[in-house]
Amino acid sequence: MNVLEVDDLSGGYSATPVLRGLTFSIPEGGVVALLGPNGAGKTTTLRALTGGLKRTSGRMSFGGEDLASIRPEGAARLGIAHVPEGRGTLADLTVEENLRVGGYLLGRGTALTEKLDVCFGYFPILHERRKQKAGHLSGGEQQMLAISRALMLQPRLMLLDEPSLGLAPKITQRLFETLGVINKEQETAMLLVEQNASLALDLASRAFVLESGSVVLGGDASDIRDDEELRRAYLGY
Amino acid sequence: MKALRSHGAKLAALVLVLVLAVVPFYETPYNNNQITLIFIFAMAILGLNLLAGYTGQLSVAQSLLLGIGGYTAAILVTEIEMPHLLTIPAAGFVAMFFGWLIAMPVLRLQGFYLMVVTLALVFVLSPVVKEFPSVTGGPEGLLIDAPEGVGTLATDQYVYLVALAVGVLLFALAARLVNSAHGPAMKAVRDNEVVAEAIGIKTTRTKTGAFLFASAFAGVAGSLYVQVIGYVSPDSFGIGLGLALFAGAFIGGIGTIAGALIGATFVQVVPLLAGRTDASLTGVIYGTAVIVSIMAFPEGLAGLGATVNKRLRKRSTGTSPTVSPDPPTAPAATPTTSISSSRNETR
Amino acid sequence: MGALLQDVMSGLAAGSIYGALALALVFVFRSTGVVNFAQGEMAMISTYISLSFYNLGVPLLAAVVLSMACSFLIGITVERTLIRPVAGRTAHAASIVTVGLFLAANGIAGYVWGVEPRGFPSLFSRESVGLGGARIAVADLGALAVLVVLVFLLFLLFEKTRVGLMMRAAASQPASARMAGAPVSNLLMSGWGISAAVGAVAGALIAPAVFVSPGMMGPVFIYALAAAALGGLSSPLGAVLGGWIIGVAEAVIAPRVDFIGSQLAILIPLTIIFLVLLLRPAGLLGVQEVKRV
Ligand SMILES: Nc1ncnc2c1ncn2[C@@H]1O[C@H](COP(=O)(O)OP(=O)(O)OP(=O)(O)O)[C@@H](O)[C@H]1O
Ligand SMILES: [Mg+2]
Repeated sequence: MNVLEVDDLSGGYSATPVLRGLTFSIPEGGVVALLGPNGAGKTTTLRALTGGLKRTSGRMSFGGEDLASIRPEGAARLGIAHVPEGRGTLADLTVEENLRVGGYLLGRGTALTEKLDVCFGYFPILHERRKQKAGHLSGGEQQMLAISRALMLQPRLMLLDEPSLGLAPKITQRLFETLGVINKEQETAMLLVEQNASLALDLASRAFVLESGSVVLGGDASDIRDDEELRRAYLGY
Repeated sequence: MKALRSHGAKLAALVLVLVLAVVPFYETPYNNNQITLIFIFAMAILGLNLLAGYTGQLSVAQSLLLGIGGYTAAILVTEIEMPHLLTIPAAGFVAMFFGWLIAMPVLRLQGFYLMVVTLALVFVLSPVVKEFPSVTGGPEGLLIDAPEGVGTLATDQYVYLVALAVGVLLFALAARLVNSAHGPAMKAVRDNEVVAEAIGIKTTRTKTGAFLFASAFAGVAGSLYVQVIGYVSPDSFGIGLGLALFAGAFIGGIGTIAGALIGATFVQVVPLLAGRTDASLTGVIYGTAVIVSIMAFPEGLAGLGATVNKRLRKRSTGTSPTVSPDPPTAPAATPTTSISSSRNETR
Repeated sequence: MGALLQDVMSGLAAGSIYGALALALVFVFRSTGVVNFAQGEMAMISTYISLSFYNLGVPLLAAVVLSMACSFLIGITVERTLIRPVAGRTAHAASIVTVGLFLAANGIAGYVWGVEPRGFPSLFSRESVGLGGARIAVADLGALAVLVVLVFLLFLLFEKTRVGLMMRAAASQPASARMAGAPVSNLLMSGWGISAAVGAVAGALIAPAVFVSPGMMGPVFIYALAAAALGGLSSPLGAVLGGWIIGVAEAVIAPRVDFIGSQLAILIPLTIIFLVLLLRPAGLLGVQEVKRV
């Protein structure tokens, strides 16, 4: 059973077409890596899935629901959480306020506090800093905050745009471990956009390589990881 | 001002000027003065157009600077009997100096601060002028003798033709400016200051330069204003006129030179028409026109043809091209020549 | 000493009114990044609405509250019909629209209610109370109290309620707020509504002193702009402090410096604006914005 199906998706920004007949899917609870060079259209793909692009042709469906006219608010309601490129930190709000914003759809009840505790469980540092302005966090902490904010939605699918960007290798390593735990414990499917292909392939079960807006290679993450020729040709390492 | 570069538009401008030049010989003195006022407002709006339309800096101080020009001319004529013609450049320079005083501290900052400061400044002229009655005539203002007519020209015809000539000069100057290397620099500042700075444009200098031009144009207009009206008084140059000129710039088409004449006609004619029912309607019409022109026609009435064309094209091809900021300009409309009652201030 | 205290008090009272209007400006600026040049004119319309209710026999306080409700509706209508359509364009476009609204609102008021000034009853008694040798007008204390309550309520709204939190989020990072499922456009709209309601309060406070006319808010709005600039356009507390500083400066300086007098008092906010821009453009409590491409 696939939680997300993207079929022959094309689209882009007003002047430039970016996605050209993109097809891929994400199994329920699975982690899928979306790889490819700069400018391939990875970020654009995530935007398309959360209604950031105006005009698209092709089909996208999420848990059976058509995403053709999806808007960002609607995506959140369906259970798609977006951890955007650049983290989208609400800099002048405190860490806890950031999380409460993320949990907007949970209302006022106990669900909110429970979810806060879940996030603090994964990232204890955020608990320590919960009264601080989020703008004062380090890059790694802001990334944890962005992931936690997404987690507050109790998403069925989490879209992660280069979570390793700008982080030290050690921090990245730990972050990816935590992502793995979150995936297992919360049963959240993940679409992971990464430049760090090797880390992403370790975490993901399937992977797609994007070039100029279409999928040029797709398969089991382990197959790609173990095939040096493929890696050289498509991922450059 | 691509349009003025093209032959067709040049020809249209020439014909327009020639037609305007013979008008005063067939019109009543009253109407001549009304049209002269349109020329005068067109100069102030043209200056604002360079400042706001090309460089992206919003200001309501054109009325203040027009007032400064007007007072300069009136004081020079009454105190040292300077010939009226000479007060025109003098008023331009004095207004430019005051413009420099305003621009210096403000233009380093984000765009809306200029609006904040100029909005406050237009409230200052009147009390300051009233405070120095020995020079300015205080609340009563200053009366000046009308310039003598020359040869067979009556005073109204003479002032009309002087204003037309000065107007043509300023329009040519503005066209030259925006067609020079400064034009693109100004637009770059308008579109994104940070980017402009990054590609080596001295943004503060460009903005200050535009403000000085706008000030000088308003000052020149102010000198001609007293020559038409025959007096200056402290309350003629307040927020009402400032907002009216601002509205005129946006209604006529911001970023298009021909728009200044259309905007000025609007500024002069609307109060006359509105005054027949209720003077308050002037503000309603100005305000609505500004809002509509910004929302529906980003290039104002002068760009109307272009905007509509673009929309039609968009609909027929089904693509959505982004609206370019530099539309081909439609030729300027001829101002109405049958004006028949006096101008009302907005407030 | 008594005279000085008296002037300081009346300065604080006037400053409270400037502060209230500045608060409305800041509210809009914080939630949408637009300087609403029509804020004063919107408050003027609100004042006419208060007066109309009052003339229908509604008790004054209730009339002002009703007018606040109407103003809220006017505010959200303005945002939805006039500001939203140009929101995607340059920041200027929205400001220009508010200038258009300034003109239109002024004209509409003149057309509907006429241009002759009308009296407006004070919300407070005309008594004064003795305090350290000075006579302090009850109305002055009242204006001060209203502003303090207003700031406190806005503080509660922003800091302690879920809606307030989401409004701050929508202003700070609309994209992130949207991704969390928040109705960002409704939140921005409410920002305009609330600020219009705050403006209605400012109008009711100033009206007894300046009378109600289409031009009543002109100079007051300049003082409010100065207060907002002084406090930092994005800081509500700054707006209030700015209002008080300007009010007190005016009340203390004007009667003591011959040259200034009442005519030239407008130079005080102007000078303050210039000084702030020269010395501390971000304002007293504002945060220096980082310019981004
Ligand atoms: N807002 C936008 N407007 C117009 N074009 C855009 C916009 N954002 C991205 N593009 C263009 O779309 C193409 C794909 O960009 P996208 O951000 O999706 O790439 P990416 O795969 O995420 O690259 P990277 O690894 O560098 O993040 C690029 O050519 C880019 O220039
Ligand atoms: Mg990207």
